[in-house]
Amino acid sequence: MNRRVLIAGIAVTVPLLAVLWANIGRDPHRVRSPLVGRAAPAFSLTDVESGEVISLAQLAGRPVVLNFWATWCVPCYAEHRVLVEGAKRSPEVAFIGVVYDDERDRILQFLAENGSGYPSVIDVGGRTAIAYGVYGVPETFFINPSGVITAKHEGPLDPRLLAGYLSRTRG
Amino acid sequence: MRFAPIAFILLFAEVALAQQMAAPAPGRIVGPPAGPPLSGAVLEEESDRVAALLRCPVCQGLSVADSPAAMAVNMKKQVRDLVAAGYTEDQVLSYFEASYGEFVRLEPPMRGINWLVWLAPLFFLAAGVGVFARSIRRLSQKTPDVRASCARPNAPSGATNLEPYRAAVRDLVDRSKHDPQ
Repeated sequence: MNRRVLIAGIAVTVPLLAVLWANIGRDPHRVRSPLVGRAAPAFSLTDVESGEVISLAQLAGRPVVLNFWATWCVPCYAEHRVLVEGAKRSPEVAFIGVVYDDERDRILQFLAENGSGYPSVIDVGGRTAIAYGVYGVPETFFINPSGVITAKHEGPLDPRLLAGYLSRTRG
Repeated sequence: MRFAPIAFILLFAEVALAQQMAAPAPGRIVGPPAGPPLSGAVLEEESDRVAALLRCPVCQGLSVADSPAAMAVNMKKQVRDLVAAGYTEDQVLSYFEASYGEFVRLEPPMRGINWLVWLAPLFFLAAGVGVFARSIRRLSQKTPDVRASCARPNAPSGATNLEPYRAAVRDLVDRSKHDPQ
């Protein structure tokens, strides 16, 4: 076989295989968040039950678990129980649920049926979700007492994952 | 007194805008608007144009302008508000890039390893043309040799000396005269 053709063939195929190898097992839809390690974007949203305004500034000095969810999101049902349990176990951590693209009545009904252990706020026009780079629900951000995002979790949380993130965020 | 209604409208608009921006003000990320505020048909055109440069994070093959996803609709609204306030295309793209990363731009910006994406196709095209040109040149060089090798290997050089053949023909004719068969 012509050696030049062989070398050219290898030079083209090997990089392609290297790229394939590097990405096998990786979800192609996943978008790496540029916010991890940076200051959490400010927000000022209304609590769906009490009507009072909750802002990130009010929570300074406490670790914050910011969970984006919606009543039409099926995995959010199971996750909600995990978060309510977590909020009970760690009262020094501020759990906030940001409801995305939903209606007040449906949210109130959901909370009545599934329990509410922490405030849930409505994101008007999805602006806070955009600021946090949310592209699906559920997504959860872990913010340390200095206001820096230490981790972002895409998909529903389970008790083990939540405990792991909390121990790293309290730090 | 003439200015009172205008002042009221401005105040109302300010409050409405502030409520919309219950999230962090873009100014904190990209600074104040670099261009003039837009309105009317120019606003629609420009916000559509900029929205077409953003990738929908949910339907990742579509632009924000084309995607029906709720997230894209919200982003489109925010693009419109930013453009109306006078933010330039670059500022709007940078604002979304701060939240979503470089991936949110449909066209990879020309920096760092992204140059590979832009230049690799040109490189392969040039390489392909080079290989093609080389093959053509080699083919046309071979043709005279081919012609030469197709010529009969035992033919007399110069074809001037035909005497031996004429003698052989005469010999055959004489023999056939003496031997009529």
